[in-house]
Amino acid sequence: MNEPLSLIEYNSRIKRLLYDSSVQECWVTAETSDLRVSRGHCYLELIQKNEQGATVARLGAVIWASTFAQLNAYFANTTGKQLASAMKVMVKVSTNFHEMYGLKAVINDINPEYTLGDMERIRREIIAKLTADGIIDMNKQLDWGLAPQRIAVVSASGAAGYGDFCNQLHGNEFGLKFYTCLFESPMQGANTVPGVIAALDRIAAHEDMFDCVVIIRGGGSTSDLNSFDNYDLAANIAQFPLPIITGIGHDRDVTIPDMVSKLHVKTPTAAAQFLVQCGAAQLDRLNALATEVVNSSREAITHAREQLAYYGNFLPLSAQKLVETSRAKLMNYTQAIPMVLKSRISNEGIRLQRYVDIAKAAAAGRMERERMRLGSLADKVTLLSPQNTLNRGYSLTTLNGHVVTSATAIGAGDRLVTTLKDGTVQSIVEQ
Amino acid sequence: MENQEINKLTYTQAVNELEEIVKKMQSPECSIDNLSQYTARSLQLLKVCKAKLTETDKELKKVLDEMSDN
Repeated sequence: MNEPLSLIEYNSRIKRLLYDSSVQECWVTAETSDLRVSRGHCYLELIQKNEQGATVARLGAVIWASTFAQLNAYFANTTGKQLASAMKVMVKVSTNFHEMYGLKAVINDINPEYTLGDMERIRREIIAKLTADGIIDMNKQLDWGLAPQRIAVVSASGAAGYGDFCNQLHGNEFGLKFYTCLFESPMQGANTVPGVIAALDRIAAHEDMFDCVVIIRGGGSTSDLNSFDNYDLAANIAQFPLPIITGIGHDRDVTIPDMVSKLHVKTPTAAAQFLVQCGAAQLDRLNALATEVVNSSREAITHAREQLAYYGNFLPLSAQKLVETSRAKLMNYTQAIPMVLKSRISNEGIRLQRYVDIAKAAAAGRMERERMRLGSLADKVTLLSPQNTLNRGYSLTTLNGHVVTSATAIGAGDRLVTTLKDGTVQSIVEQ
Repeated sequence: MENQEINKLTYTQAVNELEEIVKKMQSPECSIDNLSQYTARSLQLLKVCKAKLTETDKELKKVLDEMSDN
């Protein structure tokens, strides 16, 4: 057995071994994890996962501050994202071994095109499948009512983000009441996707009790962010019967679940603010409606009053007008009556005069006729008078005052008186 | 009148009915006879809507607290 080496000697041998060109300045593809920036240096883990998602290789890496500022700017300029965890990267590494600090891969270059291509490829594939399945917009089409108040929350219970969400929601300045119910799920690590899907299944069993679902990450590492870009999770969210608000991604990272959910917000606090704003908008709406009710009532009453006032003014006017019209009519009648009477009297006068004239004419006629008849009678009397007969030679014989018309009425010795035209003679009958 | 019935309305139903009534009240055809009825109903609906937003439904809270993983 050789003389045992001190640890530092042994570590020095390892260090020397790594000077081999096969591990220096090599382009390596890997996934980033647990990336953090400290004092300008970027520390991260390079990992590789198998098809099942289990990590099969791991190497601690660093980008020294002198390189990192330039590399990160170049990376961000090409991909639109800052270098972060859970990214597929192609980096040029030289692995060093320090006797005290151990193995460390030093990154001195990066190919952002690789990251961009990989991220996009995965996302495009998932989006294409969601679109082909016809489900990509399903959750967006759901309606969460006017004021979602009953909220099912999918998060990790102890997470800072969940606490922020609850504080913001329940401590809102408008006094709005919300009902939250936590359905716990790991929000990072390999169990995230099955955990969220299981939580969604439990919510779906009580679908009627909620207005919407909020899926929020509890903060912490972004290393598993890309694991949210998962078809099964996106399909569950897209087809979920309640509208879902997601706050999974970060400012620059929009995951596919964020894309298919009804609403995507950047932080748990923003999710709470949105819900509070919905309620506050309804309070405003109620206040506006209350004002409308009061104004409408007031307006209707004012209108009715005006109408009454109008009728009130109009009635005396109408009455006055009616009286004046009646008076004018009466006046017309009053003026008309004497004229009518005069006309009537005049007519009657004419009629009477006519009768008088007729009567006068009739009387004159009758008088004339009587006068003529009397004249005729006088003539007849004159003709028939005894004197006239006597004048014509006849005589009148009387016996004892009686006219003798027969010889038989006279006897011998009777004293007869004979009247002639110019006197009488007496004679005694002899025989 | 329909206090029991009005409390069964959802917020959306109540606020929609309220808007309908306000529309009727604003209509020139709204008679003064209907006004007091509309006003009374709209005030009831306003009260119910506001209560739904700002007053705790203890029964619902209890059920959801029990269901929660907290």
